[in-house]
Formats: sequence, structure tokens, C-alpha cells
Amino acid sequence: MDRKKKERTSPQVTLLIFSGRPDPELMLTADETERLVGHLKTALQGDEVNPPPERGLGYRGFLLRDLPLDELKRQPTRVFRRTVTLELGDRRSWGDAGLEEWLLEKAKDSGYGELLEPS
Amino acid sequence: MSGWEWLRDLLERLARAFRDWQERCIPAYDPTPWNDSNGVQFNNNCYNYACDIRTNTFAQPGQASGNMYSSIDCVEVGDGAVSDGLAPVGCDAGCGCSDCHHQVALVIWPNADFHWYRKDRDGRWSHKPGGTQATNLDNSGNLITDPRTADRGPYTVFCGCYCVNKSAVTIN
Repeated sequence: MDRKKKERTSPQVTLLIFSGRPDPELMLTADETERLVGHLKTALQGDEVNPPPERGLGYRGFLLRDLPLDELKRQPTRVFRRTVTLELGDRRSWGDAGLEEWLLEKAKDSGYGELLEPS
Repeated sequence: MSGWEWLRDLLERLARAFRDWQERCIPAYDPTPWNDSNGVQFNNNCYNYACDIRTNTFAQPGQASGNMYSSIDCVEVGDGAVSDGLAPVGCDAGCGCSDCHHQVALVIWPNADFHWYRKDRDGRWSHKPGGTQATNLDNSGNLITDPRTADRGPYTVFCGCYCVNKSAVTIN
């Protein structure tokens, strides 16, 4: 069972905050990945909502890629303004079931808190 | 051909030459090719977009010319861009039409990041915030007529303007 956990591919979680410099990547543990997947599954079961408006410069949410979920496997997924949005094709959105708040805490714990302070 | 016809013919040819030059040298605001929600969008940043050059490397000022910025400030990032081939210019003076180039502008989020804007053929400015979509709107949702006065969010420092001659610029 331990080996199965070690073989699991970690999803790519990008904090969308910079414009010129590469955005920071958050590293998730196996448990955090499971928690992320749990949030997403809950979110996708909810009602669809309108995609949020773009913001421009500064914090713009999180981009999730390589998700260990069949329906999201090749689908870049954006978490922003308390919604989860599938970025490819028809942009479909759902309420995020608290995912953005959890990711923001993770980003602050990873040392990016100062960047996320309102300017 | 009468004198008037000759003059009219000359003016038409000049206008056509100017339009051809514009089409060749000044990018139009057409964000669709940059906003594919996939490889192009995620791998090309503000600097790529401002220079109108896709490298899929999230280009960094000075990286292609071995002179990458060592700190986030106007001098370092600007010097990196100049090393890549961009030429500083007064923002009001602009790049003129003596060469094939378009105008861009550099701003800084102090100690955090840099950002570039691009002046398009329609006279307005547009930009691409990192791996997100190119747009001609600022952070308040307004069309950008001048990056000096646009809502730039945390990019509070305006550094200056530069000219980009795509055939003389290499970025990576």
C-alpha cells in the first residue's frame, strides 16, 4: 500500500500570481493530493455556475494539471473566485467547495503569504 | 495625368505604403492565438506577448543574450531587455516609422515581478499576465489607453518604454 502511494503522480498546482517570472508551483503530499481530489469531486457534483471574470495582474487563482481524476486528466483546471473552471473547450464552472481557501492556506504555508497580501 | 491626379495618386500610394508598413510592423490586437488555454497560453508570458514572439519558454529579459536580470528593478530588467535587442524610447515620442518596430512598456511589482505592455495597431495597449490570457483591459476592466495611468494592480512602478524590432530582437 505504501508503494502504491509513492507511485501516485502528484498533480501540478501552479499559483497564478506573476506575469514575467515563472509562477510558483506548490508541492502536494499524497495526503494533500487526496484532499485536493476530494474537494474537486465534491465541487463537480454541484450545480454549474458562470465562469468568473478575469482579474488581470496579481493573484489570479490556481491552475491544476495532471489531476488523478479520469474526467480531468487532460483538462487544465482553474480555481479562482471560489469556482472551479475547466479551461479547455466549453469553459464550464462549478462552486469550488472550499478548494480555493484550502489552496491559499497551502500557498501561505509554502512561503507565499506576502505576495498574497492585498496591495 | 494632371497635376491633381498625380498628387492624388501619390497620396494614395503613400497611404498604402503606410498601411503596409503598419501591417508588417505593428501587431494588431488579436489575442486568440495566445489564448489557447493550453501550451501557447501557459508557456508564453508578458515579455513574449509584448515582443510578439512565441518561444514557449516563458521568456526572461536578458536570458537569450546571456545578461539576465539579477534583481527585480527597472534598471536590471530594462538592461536585460536592451541586451536582447529592445531599444529605450520616450513614451510620448514613440518609436516612429523609420524602422519596423512597435512600442512596449515595462512596469515593476517592487521586489516581486516585472510586466510588459504592448502598443497595438489600433493605438491602444494590451498585455498578457503570465500564463493567463492576453487582454486589452486593465485591472479595473477598462481599455488601456496608456499604461502609465492604467490600473496595474501591484505593479506600481512604471519604468519606461522601449521599441521592439522583431527581426533584431532575440528572446528566450
